[in-house]
Amino acid sequence: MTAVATFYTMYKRRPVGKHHIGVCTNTLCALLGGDAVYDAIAEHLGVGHNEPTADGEFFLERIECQAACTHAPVMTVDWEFMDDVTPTTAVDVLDRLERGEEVWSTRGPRIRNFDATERTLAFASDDLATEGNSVDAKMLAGLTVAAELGMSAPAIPAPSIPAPSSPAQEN
Amino acid sequence: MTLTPVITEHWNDPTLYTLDGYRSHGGYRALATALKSDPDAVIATVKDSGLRGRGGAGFPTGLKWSFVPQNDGKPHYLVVNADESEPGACKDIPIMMANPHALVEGVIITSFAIRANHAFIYIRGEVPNAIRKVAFAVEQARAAGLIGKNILGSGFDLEIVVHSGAGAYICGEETALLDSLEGYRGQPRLKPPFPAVAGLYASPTVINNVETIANIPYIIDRGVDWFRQFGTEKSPGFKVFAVSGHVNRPGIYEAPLGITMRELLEYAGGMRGGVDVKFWLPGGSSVPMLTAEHLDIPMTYEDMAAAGTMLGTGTPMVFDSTVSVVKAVTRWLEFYKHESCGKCTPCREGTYWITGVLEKFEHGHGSQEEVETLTHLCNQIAGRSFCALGDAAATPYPAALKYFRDEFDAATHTPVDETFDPRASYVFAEAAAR
Repeated sequence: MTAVATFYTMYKRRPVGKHHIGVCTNTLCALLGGDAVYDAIAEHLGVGHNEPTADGEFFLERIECQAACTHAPVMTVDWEFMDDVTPTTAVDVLDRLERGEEVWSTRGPRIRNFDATERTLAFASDDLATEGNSVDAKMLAGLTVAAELGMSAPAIPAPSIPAPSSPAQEN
Repeated sequence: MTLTPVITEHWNDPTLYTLDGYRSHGGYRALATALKSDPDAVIATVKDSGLRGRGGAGFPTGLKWSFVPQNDGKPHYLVVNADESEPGACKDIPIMMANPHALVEGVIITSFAIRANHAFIYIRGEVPNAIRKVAFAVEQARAAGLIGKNILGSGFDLEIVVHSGAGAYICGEETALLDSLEGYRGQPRLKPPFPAVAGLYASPTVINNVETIANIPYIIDRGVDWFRQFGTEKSPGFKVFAVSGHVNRPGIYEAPLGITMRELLEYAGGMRGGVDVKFWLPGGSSVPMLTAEHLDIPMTYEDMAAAGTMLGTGTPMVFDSTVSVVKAVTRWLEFYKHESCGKCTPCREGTYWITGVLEKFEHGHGSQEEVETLTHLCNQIAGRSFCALGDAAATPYPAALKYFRDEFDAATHTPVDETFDPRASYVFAEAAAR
């Protein structure tokens, strides 16, 4: 059990507190400003890597690549995406959370708390799939340019294998 | 070469992630076609399409499927590698958040083809929003009778399990992923036996990347001839390119394989502030970097290999001349050191030593002798560990040295942050906290 628990960075062996704050400081995010975002948060909270604040409100972690490099620099709050942050906007998110205001992930649902996300992960499901916006302008960048330039994929041919009994033939 | 949205074609439909939304664009038509066909015919179609794995290695997908022994009396498994953790790779997570049913439909068709009644989608734990979208799609597909017993009256049964990872890059390595799925530490296995023969629970297993599987419905629905209109003979098809870094419009651009970085850059609005491309990586930090000289090379598996690099995940990271290559490489090595699973000594110890020496350079304390030491260390790791993580860790430095030797020379006396003001690389204008 210990061998497994110590292997994976997401298994925390100390209390994390209410909100887990991750800042990507892998190369791309770091160079595009993630280092400055991390420094600003660390200074604001008065904690370092893998440390909780005294009031148990936040836990700060330098995280690795979040598969959101198109949205660098990336921060996560309870593992929900906070894309394209700056030192100022990142600290502002923390302030709003601390005041108990509603904060939404930039590509995902309303921020809950760390425990709630852990439950989502444990059951690999929750009822929030319909909440929030998961597709943004950067994910549509190519589609937008293609539409502007009148580009598209080659036309879809007529079905190669006829499937007469299928109701889903019309398109 | 033009942009050709296929997997991304309907991402601007906010209902696409739902079953009804996906079906309104022809979704699950391919499943009906496949189930009326024969598993071997589906494998043959995918083989003929020439589809190659989109996870990085580019192995022919149909061929991989055909390695699964048939009529062996053992359960077969399909495992989808959705552990997208490669620095720079950011295309599978968007696919799962925007078009999860393309993945689910692909999983059902693939499972039918390889005669698996159980499929697993292993999604890295750091992205709950991708996990809940895929779980929702699976749930809706199950409620509609597309997963479960006797799917569409075909007699084919399938269960799909969505599994969350727990934060380990190594679990993107297929055999480490299997160990992780079985509940152990995610450490790579020695091959052979290959997963097609003895994979999950020692049974024949196919492991495919998310984007690979998301291609399947389109190939089955539209046919091999249609698919082969895209790309080249050796690299057919389209690719979800995720362009990041110092470009004006970073984002997802879907185009045929064979498009050049120069064309992608143009679609992405060019370089920020008109500053030159200094170096770029075609697909993740594990592939050797290229420079501005290489912008016209077609982005195919074969052309990238000929240029001394790899297409990898097809998610180019582009850096401009404000960036210190020494700092970039050091940060990547810190990553590999952190993520080395510790099983093989060359990788475990080597990443530790390389990182330590590189950090000296970052602070301006490197030496000419250590330039050679680093080369020696990389040679001691490459090809000497079970999996590709060791090879990947030995990749950034030699490529950087080849093109930017002068920066390592400068880092023997001057800290890189003095030569390259970090603030110049930031994508926001506000003053840094430091």
